[in-house]
Amino acid sequence: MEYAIELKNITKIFPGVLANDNISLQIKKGEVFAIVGENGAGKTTLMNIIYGLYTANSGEIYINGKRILHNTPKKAIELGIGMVHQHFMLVPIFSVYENIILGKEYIKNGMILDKKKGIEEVKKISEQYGLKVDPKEIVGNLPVGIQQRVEILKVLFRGAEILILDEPTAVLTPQETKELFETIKALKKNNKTILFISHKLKEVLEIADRICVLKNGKVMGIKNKEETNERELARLMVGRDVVLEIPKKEKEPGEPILEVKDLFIMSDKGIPAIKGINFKLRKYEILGIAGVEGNGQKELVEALNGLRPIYSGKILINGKEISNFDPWFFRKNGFAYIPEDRRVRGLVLPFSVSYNLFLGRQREKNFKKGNFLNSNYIKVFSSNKVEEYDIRPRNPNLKVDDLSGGNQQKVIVAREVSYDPDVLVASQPTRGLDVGATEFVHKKLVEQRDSGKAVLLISLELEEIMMLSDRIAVLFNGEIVGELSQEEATEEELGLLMLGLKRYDKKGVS
Amino acid sequence: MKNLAFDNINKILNWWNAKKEDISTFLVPIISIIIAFFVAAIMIKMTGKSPIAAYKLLFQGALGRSLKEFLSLKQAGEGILKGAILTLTGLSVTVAFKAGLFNIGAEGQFIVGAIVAAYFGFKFNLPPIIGIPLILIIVGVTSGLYGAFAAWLKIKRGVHEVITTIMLNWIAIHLVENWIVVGPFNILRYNPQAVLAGTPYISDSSRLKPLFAGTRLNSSIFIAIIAVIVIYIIINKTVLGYEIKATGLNIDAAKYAGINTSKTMIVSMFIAGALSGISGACMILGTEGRYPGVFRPGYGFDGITMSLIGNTTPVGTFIAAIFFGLLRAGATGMQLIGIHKTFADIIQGVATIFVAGQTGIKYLLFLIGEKRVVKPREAHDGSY
Repeated sequence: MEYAIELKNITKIFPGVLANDNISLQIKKGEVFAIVGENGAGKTTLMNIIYGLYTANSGEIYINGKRILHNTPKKAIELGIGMVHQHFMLVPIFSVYENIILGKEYIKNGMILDKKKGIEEVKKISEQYGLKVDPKEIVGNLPVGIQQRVEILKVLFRGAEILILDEPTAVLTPQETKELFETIKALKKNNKTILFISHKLKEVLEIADRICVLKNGKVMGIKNKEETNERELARLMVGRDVVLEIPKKEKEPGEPILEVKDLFIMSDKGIPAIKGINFKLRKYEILGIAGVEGNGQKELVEALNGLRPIYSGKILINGKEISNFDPWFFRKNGFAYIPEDRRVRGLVLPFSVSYNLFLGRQREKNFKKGNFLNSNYIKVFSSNKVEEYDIRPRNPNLKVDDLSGGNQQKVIVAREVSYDPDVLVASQPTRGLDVGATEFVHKKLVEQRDSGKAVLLISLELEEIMMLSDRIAVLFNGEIVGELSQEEATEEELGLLMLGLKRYDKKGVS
Repeated sequence: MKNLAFDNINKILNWWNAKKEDISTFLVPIISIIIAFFVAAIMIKMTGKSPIAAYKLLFQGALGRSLKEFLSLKQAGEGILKGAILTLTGLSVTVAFKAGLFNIGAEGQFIVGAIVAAYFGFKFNLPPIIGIPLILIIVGVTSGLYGAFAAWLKIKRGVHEVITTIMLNWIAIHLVENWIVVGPFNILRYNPQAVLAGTPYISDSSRLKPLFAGTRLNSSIFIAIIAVIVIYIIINKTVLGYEIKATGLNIDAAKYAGINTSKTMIVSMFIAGALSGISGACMILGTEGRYPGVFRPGYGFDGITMSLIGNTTPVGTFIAAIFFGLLRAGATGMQLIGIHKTFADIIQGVATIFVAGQTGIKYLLFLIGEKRVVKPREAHDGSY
């Protein structure tokens, strides 16, 4: 049988790293083939070898049964391979059709750009695959999900038969993910072969026909969708049993620590983003804030760490009002934070792991000696934290930028927990993390709760919220439209609240 | 045998790949300067003169005709003196850079420092050991505040420091040149018979005296070296330096972590201003002896170049400043065969362009690592 892609014994070595170790795969025509693995397992390297961006050190590539030598992206495109990168390659100020035809423009009368033909062709191809776009819309104004659709159309326009989607859902909301899956199904119907790279097991089980698990550059197994489950895949991926449910100790919530009263916060545009919300957060409790992105989460988090002024209302910690102060004042009063964007707010990337581990605490007694940094204490402190939090590689002097995403997040968690806060505000703490690192962060959050801290968890991942929270408040359009206990909460109920189709009036705001 | 050779080459390449980021940091400025010399040589050739003869004169002019003359520092002293002044303005730009601020205002801070030094140098008549440090402290505070003002405007009003520091340069230049020097602090007020334009001469006790006869080199060089050491320590060892670097490298994370980034920026611009001011003071107390009627040596702007070529590190800035100080002093020698002394500026300018475009040089350097030696494989069957 002729395969769309066949790889034989592909090995790729980077200095000091065996990125792909003797990988052999056969991908059938017209199937959705998923490759899963933790960050750094070698997924992207393998895709780049197929796409001709890297040359393998050894091994053979066959496309449609033909051996490919000296692969380059140009050759790969000619052979009908198209790649949709995680970070889109679009010109934001161009319209949809201009982006799609870029480099293959239609010309009339020798030199004039034929806009009409371009628009028509784009319309034709978008109808053919059922990918709805308005060809004249400016790409920069489109939501991420639609931009991705434009990327896919661009690839299809160039005649791709094999599509490589590199972590396509990482940037999407749940709704957009659903739409993407519809797209993939439509493509499959058109007999396209899809290579789907991901580390989200649920998604993979939903969309793929076969699933290949990579770990440390090796193929750990190739499973048919029907014959496997999340638990098995997670074990193959991480190399041990992964706890998908994290047990919590039975604890009665204690006295309230954080109180938010009639809070109004303005967005950047000067319109209210948070409209009079109230909640209380108690000891031994995780309060989950669920909601679709853009319903005020960003503004709420920023107000809670002092980066955004409050328009009206109060934030009280241990009964003390601390509205409108600087971030350092919030921290001094018992707040700690895990930010949603670790590379922007969480870490100073060119700093070492060690330096990042005490960012913000440099004026505390232990970390300084007079006006100087106390390098002895810092050395001991950081090697302890690296050990305790299993930050790899075990070298606190490495640049934090050189660490994997999961280990970067561990650095942040280590720092924030070491503040010994009263309230830990975790905003999408597992965004972009793989299974192992997600498990680690979840465990730490529960550990904090069990030790008597109050944890505020703001997340777009409903699953995460439902698994960890003792209580769940749903944010819709800047208001809390309902508050449920963990037992009461079902996915359907929360979904209705999140979409604003249902609301409880001031119920259970305790 | 063959395998061993491959192993060794691979070992070297692996070492290079691991270290290339660090090493290229040093190599880029050096390669840039070498390229600049080549470009300048072509220009000299185009004017019909011999680049070799010109560079020989340049070299002799900078360091001396013989080893003995070099060691006596008679010839090199002038270049080192220029280097000291450039070091201070360069450090000024470096410190601001570490906090993520682009201090184009070194020139204005330099002028403020110069006029303040001229005034107090004239007023004070204290023993040098007390008087000169006192003048430098007053200069540091005044110019420091002048520098910090730009940071304050950025924090309070959101005006970019590049705009404000450029404007503050012209404010300083015109206030001093067209008002203070010709008005309230003109030499004619103190000595009606004077024929010179400018301010009165400073008192003898305020002067930085030449270190030895036959050269103008004075203790500015020690001030510069102390400044390099102090700034190095501040940046690398102190809590303040840590905050400055965190602010400069990622202000969002610094703010989020609770670092007072506004204060950090103001303090670093204060230090930057103080350094430029002290540079101006060294010029007045050392070589000029007063604030002349027209005084635009441009050392403040050159500080930007020194900092960039020095890779925005204190020690790098120092090396670059001494190098270009010597180069400028030496360029005077090239006038013997009719090449203008500002020729040194061409080398400085071209070197800056290449340092600024260092991605290109780095790319070429990194190519070395990309060409990996791979052991021979089985023959391809050549089907595609």
